[in-house]
Amino acid sequence: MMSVLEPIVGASACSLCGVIALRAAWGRAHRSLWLNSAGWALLLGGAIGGWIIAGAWGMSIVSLFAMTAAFAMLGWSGVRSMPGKQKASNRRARMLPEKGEPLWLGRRLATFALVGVAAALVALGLSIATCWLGMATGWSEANCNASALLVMPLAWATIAFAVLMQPYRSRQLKVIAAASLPVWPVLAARALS
Amino acid sequence: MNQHIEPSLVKRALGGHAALGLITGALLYLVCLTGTLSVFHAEWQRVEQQGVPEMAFISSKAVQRAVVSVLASEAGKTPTSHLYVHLPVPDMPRTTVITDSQAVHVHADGSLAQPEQVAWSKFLLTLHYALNIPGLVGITLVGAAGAMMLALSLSGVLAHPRIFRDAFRLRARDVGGVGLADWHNRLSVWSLPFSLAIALTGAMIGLGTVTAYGLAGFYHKGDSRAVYATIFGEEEKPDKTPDAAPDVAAALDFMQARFPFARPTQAVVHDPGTRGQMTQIWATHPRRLIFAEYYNFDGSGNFRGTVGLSDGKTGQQFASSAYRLHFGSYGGLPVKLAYLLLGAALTVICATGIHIWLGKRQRRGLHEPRLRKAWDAVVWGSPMALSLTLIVRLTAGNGAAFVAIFWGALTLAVAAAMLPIPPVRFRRGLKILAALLCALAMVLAF
Repeated sequence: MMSVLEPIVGASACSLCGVIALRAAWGRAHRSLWLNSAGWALLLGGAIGGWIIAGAWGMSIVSLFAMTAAFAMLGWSGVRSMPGKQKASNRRARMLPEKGEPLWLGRRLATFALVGVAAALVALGLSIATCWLGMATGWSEANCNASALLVMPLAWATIAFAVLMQPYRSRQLKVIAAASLPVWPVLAARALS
Repeated sequence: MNQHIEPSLVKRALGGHAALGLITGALLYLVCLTGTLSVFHAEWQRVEQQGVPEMAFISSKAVQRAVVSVLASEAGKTPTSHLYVHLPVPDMPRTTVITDSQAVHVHADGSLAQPEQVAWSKFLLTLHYALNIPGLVGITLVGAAGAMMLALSLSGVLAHPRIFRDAFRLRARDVGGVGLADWHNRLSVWSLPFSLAIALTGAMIGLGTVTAYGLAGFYHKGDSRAVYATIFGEEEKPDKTPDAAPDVAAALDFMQARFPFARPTQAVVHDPGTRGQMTQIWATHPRRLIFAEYYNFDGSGNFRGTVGLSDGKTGQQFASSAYRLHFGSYGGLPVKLAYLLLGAALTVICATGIHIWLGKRQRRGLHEPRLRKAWDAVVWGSPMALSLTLIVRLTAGNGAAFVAIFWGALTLAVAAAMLPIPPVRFRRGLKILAALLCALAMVLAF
C-alpha cells in the first residue's frame, strides 16, 4: 500500500503547488503568463501523475486533494476580507416579467419544450446513433452501450445550453435541427433494414 | 483570454444560466442536499439501528450457516428469486442476509440476529435518486437534473469572464449581494471538477433506464435488460427444480485462496435452492473506482469466471466506475469528508443562485416577499423536514411514514410563505426551527 501511497502524495503535492501558484498569479495586479502557466501545468501534472500511479482512482484522489486545498485558501481569503462598498449587479435574466410587462407564458413554455423535451429526444437519438456508429466500426457491444449511456446526458446538456444561447426562436430551432442531423441516417438505415 | 469573450455572448450565457437555474433550482437543491447526506449512508444505517452485531470479518462457514438458516426459515413460502449476503466492510461492519421477503442481521458465528430496520436510510437514498417517486419518473427526473447541472456548469463559466481570475477573491463580508455572488461564484469554480463528475455520473445513472429503453427498442426488441447485460453480465436461464442450498462457503474460500487482493462485499445467489442456482461474489479491488468485479460460481461453489468489470471492455470498466465516483465510497473517511465539503458547497451554490436572482430583482425595485419566502422555505424547510423524519425514526420507530412526513412538512413550510409574515422574520423563524430540529435529531442519534 505504501508503495502506491507515496507517489500519490507526490502527485497531490504537485497539485497543491499548482493551486498555490494560481493563487499567487491571480493575486497580482498585473497578469503573469509564466506563473499562470506554471499553476495550470502543475495542476495538470498532478492529475496526470495520479492517473499514471493508480488510474482513475489516483486521478480522483489527487483532484479531491487539490479542490480541498483550494477551498482552504478560499476560506482564508473569506476570513481576511474586509467589508466593501461595491454595488452588486442588478442585470436582468429575463426569466420573469418586470412591472407592467406581459407574462409571455406561451413563449416561455415553448422554450421549456425545446430545452426539456426536444433537446432530450435529440440527445436520446444521438446516443442511439453513437451506438450504431460504434457497432458499424467494430466496437464491442459493451463499449457501444456504455458510450450511449455517456452521450445521452452530455448531448442533452450541450444542446440545452446551445439552445438557450440563441437570441431568436428560429436560431433555437436551427440548433435542434443541426444537432439531430446524425440521427436521421441511423433512422433511415433502420427503416430500410 | 477571457477578456476577449463578446459581451453579448456573456449576456446570453448569463440569461441561459439563470433560466436553467431557476427551472431546476429547487430540484437541484434537494438532490444536492440529500446527496451530501447520502455519502454517509452506511453511517446513517448504523446510527438508525444500533445494537446490531458488528464484526470486521466473518468466516465462510458462518456465512453458509446464515444462508442455510434464512432459506430454512422461508420453507413452504414462495421461494425467493435472489438472496443477498452483505458482508462486513470498514464503514459497515455488519453481515446481513436479504431475500425477497426479509432482511436479517447475522452474528459473527452465523446465527441469525434481529431483522434489519433501516427504513429512514432507505427513504433518504430514495429521496436522493428518485424524489420518492416510484417507477421511471422519479429517477429520470433526477437524471435530467444532473444533465441540467452539467449545462449550468458550462453556462456558468461562460457567463462570468473573470471567474478564474477572481477565483480566490471572496468578499465574504460585503452586503447588498456582492458577498452572496462571490460565495456562489468562488464555490462554483473550485468545485467545478467535482460538480462535473457528480453531474455526469448522476445523469448517467438517472437517465440510464431511459437510454436503455431507447437502445433496447432499436437493437434488442425492447428488452432493456439485454442492454445492461452487455456491460454487467446476464443471469443464466433458471431451472426451478428444487436442489440443496447453495455452497456459498466454497465460493468465498475460493476467493480467499485465488483472489486474496479482492475484498468480497456481497454474495448474491440467483434462484437459491434450485438446480439453476448460481452464486456471484461481488468484490472490490484496491485503488480502483469500480464498485465491484463479479466472480461467478455455480451452486456447488465451482468458479465459472468473472464478468469483466475490472479488466474487461473499457465500457464495462467505465460504467462500473460511475457509482463509487458518484457516492464517494472509494477512499474511506478522508474521501467521504471531502465529498461532504464539496457536496455542501454544491448545495450552497444551488441555494445562493436563486437568492442572487431574487436580490437583483429587488434592487431593480421588484419586491416579491412571497417568492423570496417560498425560496427560503425550500432552503431551510428541506433540512428541517429531513431532521423531523430522523427524529420520528429515532422516537417512533422504523414503520413511520417518512415520505408523507417529509413532503408534508416541506409543503407546509412553502404554504406558510404565503402568510402575511415579514420576510426577515419568516427566514429567521425557519432558521431557528431548522437548527433546533437538526440539533435534536443529532442529540437523539449520537
